[in-house]
Amino acid sequence: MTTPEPKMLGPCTALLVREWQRLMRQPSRLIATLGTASLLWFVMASGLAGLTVYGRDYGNYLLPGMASMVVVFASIFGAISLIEDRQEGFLQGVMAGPAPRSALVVSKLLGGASIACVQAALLLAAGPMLGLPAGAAGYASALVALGALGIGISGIALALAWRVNSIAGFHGVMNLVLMPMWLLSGAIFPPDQSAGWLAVVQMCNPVGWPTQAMQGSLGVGEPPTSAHWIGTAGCAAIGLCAAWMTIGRAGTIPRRA
Amino acid sequence: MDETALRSTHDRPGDAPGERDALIPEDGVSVRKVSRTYHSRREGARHALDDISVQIAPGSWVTLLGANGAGKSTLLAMLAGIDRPDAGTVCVFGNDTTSSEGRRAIRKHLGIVFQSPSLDRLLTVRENLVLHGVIGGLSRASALSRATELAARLGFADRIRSRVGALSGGLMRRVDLARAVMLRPRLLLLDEPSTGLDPQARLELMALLYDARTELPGLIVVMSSHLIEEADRADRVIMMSSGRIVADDTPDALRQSAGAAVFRLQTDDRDTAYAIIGRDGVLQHHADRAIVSVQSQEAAGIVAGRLAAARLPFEYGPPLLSDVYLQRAGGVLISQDTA
Repeated sequence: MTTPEPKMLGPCTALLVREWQRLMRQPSRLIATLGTASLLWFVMASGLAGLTVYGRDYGNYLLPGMASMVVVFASIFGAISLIEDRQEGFLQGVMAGPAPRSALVVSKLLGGASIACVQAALLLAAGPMLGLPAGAAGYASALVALGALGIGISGIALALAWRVNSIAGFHGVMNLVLMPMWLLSGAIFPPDQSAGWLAVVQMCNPVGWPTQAMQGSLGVGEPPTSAHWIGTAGCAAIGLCAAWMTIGRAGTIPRRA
Repeated sequence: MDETALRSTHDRPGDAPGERDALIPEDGVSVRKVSRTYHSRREGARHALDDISVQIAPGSWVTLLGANGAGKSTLLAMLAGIDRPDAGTVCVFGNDTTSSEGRRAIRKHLGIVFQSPSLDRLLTVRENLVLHGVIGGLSRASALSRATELAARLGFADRIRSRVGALSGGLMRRVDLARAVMLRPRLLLLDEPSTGLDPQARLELMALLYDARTELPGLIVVMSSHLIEEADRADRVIMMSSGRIVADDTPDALRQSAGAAVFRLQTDDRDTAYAIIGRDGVLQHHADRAIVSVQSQEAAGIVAGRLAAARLPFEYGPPLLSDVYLQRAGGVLISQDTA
């Protein structure tokens, strides 16, 4: 009896479901991501209560930025799961099997992005209660930006995690690359008030475009222009390319730690 | 052993020279003149495989026996298409594993058990098996049915709803074996599958592996090990040392090649041992262990008398595979009792 050649959809769906099963069995991941963002929002919004940005109080301005932080954190956890898969031996079992390599890339990317976006959306759901001035269309646009950000950051994080042997090492990479990308995205201070060199760095930052598109969609920033949406699509494209170039094209299984 | 000798050892009666080799690539495994060198800043160049040639016919159980660093895992990685040779060719069922098309073609016929289980510890046993079945091309219903069948066959049906992380090492190994045979492979590669198991669990795992052959006729099993007991069950044992094949034959033939009997000594005084034995036996020495092989019972009596007179303690018995390894590779293999 010959097993049929695996197609893309079946393996991809199975691996995607696995990402969600793992999340549900590690509630600490959920608590850490949402708890950190909520606590940080509460502290900063309280501490800078008198500050107004784009005519709104700072707490309102900060909420989309915290949602983008949730995406960054959740993507980092997703990328760490790739290192765990490698260390525990699961990855070599999948990669030595007949499933197309693209199924692994797509499932890891969509798994990380979907988990990140759902968590960020949960945070944004507090928006109407906090007085965020956006209608349904605004929230829908914000979710599109969140999705692109999730794919972009997950892809970059997965590409970085692929090259790192240990979780401790990945934390170093995260602090050096991913956290500065979030800090410079306009999540905690408006990008249009930055000094010259910083404005250039912010413009090159792939996390900045979707974060600002989200802020604009929710009425706490400049209304998103086509440049914002092109930048947002670019962020997702960078993530896709980064993941595909490293994992999808890898000829051999990376060595374990 | 050179390639000619290797071929002649395994040619079936009636086969014209080279005829069997010509058939092997389509339905078996052929490794020809494969070399692989790893480079690292600390250690420099390390020859993991050095001009290796092996042919394996369908239905064979081959054990790669060797000490750590002998090149066993590298050879398995070549067969799986996980690693690529610097020189030479590796053909599995007629597919060249050095090409991406070849690797893709063999993966659906391949089952691999790595040194550590390739299972998700957060998922249940059933979820793991179904996942690997589905990503291998089975429908969910077929994967479920196959998982249930394997759980019954390999004796973990009562734990199928348990999370893998909660299983004992032996049980986890069984589940990993089930994962490897989910897709009914034609080639099963086992990289020291009993690592970390106690002797009883090792025996059970070996028995299960043996059973897997009855379910999958024509299955080729290639297993690496450094335990002599695990090699005893194989149809053929390939002994490796420093990236080279030092012996390749059936376990019985290998033992017979070591002489009629052997004396095992524990001494690091090689010169004295040589002087005692003289020309009545052949001494092989490694660190503080030595074996003396003799070709007849008469010679055994003479050597025993001399060793006793010299008050050199010894063990005497028929040759074991570990004795053959010490003779051929100058290295020491361990028994599972001491592993």
